[in-house]
Amino acid sequence: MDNNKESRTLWQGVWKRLRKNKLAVIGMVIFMVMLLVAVFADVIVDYEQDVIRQDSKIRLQEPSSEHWFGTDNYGRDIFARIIYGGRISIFIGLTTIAVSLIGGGLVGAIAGYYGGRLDNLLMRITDMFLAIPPILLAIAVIAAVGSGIMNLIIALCVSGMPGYARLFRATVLTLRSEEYIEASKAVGAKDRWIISRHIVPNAIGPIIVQATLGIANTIIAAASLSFVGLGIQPPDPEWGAMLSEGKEFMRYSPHTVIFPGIAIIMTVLALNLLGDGLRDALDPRLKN
Amino acid sequence: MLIPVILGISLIIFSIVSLSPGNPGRLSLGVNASEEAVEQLNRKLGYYDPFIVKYKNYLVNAIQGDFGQSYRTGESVFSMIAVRLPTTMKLAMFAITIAAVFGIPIGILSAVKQYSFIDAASMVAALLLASIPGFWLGLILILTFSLKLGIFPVTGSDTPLHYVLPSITIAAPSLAVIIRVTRSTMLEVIRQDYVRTARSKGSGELKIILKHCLRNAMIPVVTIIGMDFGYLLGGTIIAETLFGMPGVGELMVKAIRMKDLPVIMASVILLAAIFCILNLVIDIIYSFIDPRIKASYKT
Repeated sequence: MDNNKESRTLWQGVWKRLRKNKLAVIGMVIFMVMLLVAVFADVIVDYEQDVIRQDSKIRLQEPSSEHWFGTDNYGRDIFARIIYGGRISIFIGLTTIAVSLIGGGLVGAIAGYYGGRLDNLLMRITDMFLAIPPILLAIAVIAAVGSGIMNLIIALCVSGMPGYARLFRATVLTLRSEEYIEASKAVGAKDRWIISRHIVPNAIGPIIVQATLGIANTIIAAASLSFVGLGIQPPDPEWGAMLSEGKEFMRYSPHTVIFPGIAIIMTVLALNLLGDGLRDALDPRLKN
Repeated sequence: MLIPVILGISLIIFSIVSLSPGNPGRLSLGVNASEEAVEQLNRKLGYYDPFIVKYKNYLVNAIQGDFGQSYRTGESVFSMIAVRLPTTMKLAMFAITIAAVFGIPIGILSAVKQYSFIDAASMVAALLLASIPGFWLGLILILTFSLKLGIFPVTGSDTPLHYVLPSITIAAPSLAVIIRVTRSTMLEVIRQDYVRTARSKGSGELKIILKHCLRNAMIPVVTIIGMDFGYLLGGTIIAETLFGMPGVGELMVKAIRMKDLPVIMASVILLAAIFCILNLVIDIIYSFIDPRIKASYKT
């Protein structure tokens, strides 16, 4: 009972500190709105009508009351495409981080828990992967499997996983030697109790922070790869791909590159603000 | 440690790229080539060898500077990369210099004047720079400085002016990281006892900051610069494509579009190897910055 109450107050404390951090709250609200818009994209705009259908009569129109962000080279509404693009970008960000967390987490936890030879082997392999700049690793994977949403996610997962493996291993190792774990063991607690009551609540903080910032970085990476033509292919409305199409016309129609860019920046900034805020809230000592 | 790591990298990249569907004969001769010709070339290139043999052959040749021939042009991959490497390295070096030259002083200033307007402004700037994708910044720079104002050329790499916008584009995310890391380590160092000692013995403020604080704060900053170099290479790939600069990154992106596997493989391995060597160099630099590290190796 007591334990239960304590773990609730821990998160209550985090929530209280997070709420005081105005920037973090702004970031959280923006991201929540983006998430909702992405989920309900099909309610807000008509995919076939606004996102995909081309109409050369209204190509490259300036922003107006009818087309809030103007239209692109094919007469498609940029606002509608950004809404759907958010669905793709946020989906890629969340899926990649979820898969990387699970995959990397398993490897890291196994290595940290069993230690010894297995740990050594797994970590040497992880080190090799970490020695390759992530974007190069992603490019190598794309070279092998080709472009497209799923392949892009695979590529980003392969380059993201090793980092999480390291993070999980380090966390497990530090926690294993903590005195309260030893104490819990000494009074006869079962493994399951220790894992759910001590290890998970203590390990989850830094991992949530890393994951939040990781989503932001993944969204940038996915957009960058799509921008150079290695990720999402047109006519899919991904933000990076939209920028790539728009850059041909930006001299006279700068709105084709300005709005998709702002969409990326808003999302990434919101996640960065939230991630920083969570970091401070989870570890008050860090804040000077 | 360097050689096993580079071997490991080459094995990883080789395995990943080998997963690619299609055989080299078909890829280099095109769809119209006859079955026999494709078959012959496949045999010549050792396509039917077991994986380990293929990797061994690749490695043995690579050590001698032979990374195979491009499927598209038949050119030696190594010379294709060698011609383009200087552009990429120049870009990366300019970018890291810009990031360090601006980032470190800004970071110091905002730590020394914590909670001041300068501090707040540089923190906001760092946050924004970290959230702006490099390629979008590049687009906006082209739009303002090349297309509207006409100060800098849009594409190419002939004059030093061509390097200005791409370098800024690549430097931006690293600049953000360097500002933040410099600030936070400086804030830690400023509170140390030896800084108080230096103050109490009457050293000038500037001397305290530069000699006592900065030198001790440099280790994490230099580490970050080294680690960031990997991200920087990523930025270089994007910037080269965006600004049409003939570097390794642009070569790589083109090669992927044309399924030119030897070129992709060699570019990725070489860039990753350069990244590792750079980090080794940084490990060596540590001992110059912090004599304690050197001392710990001796004992």
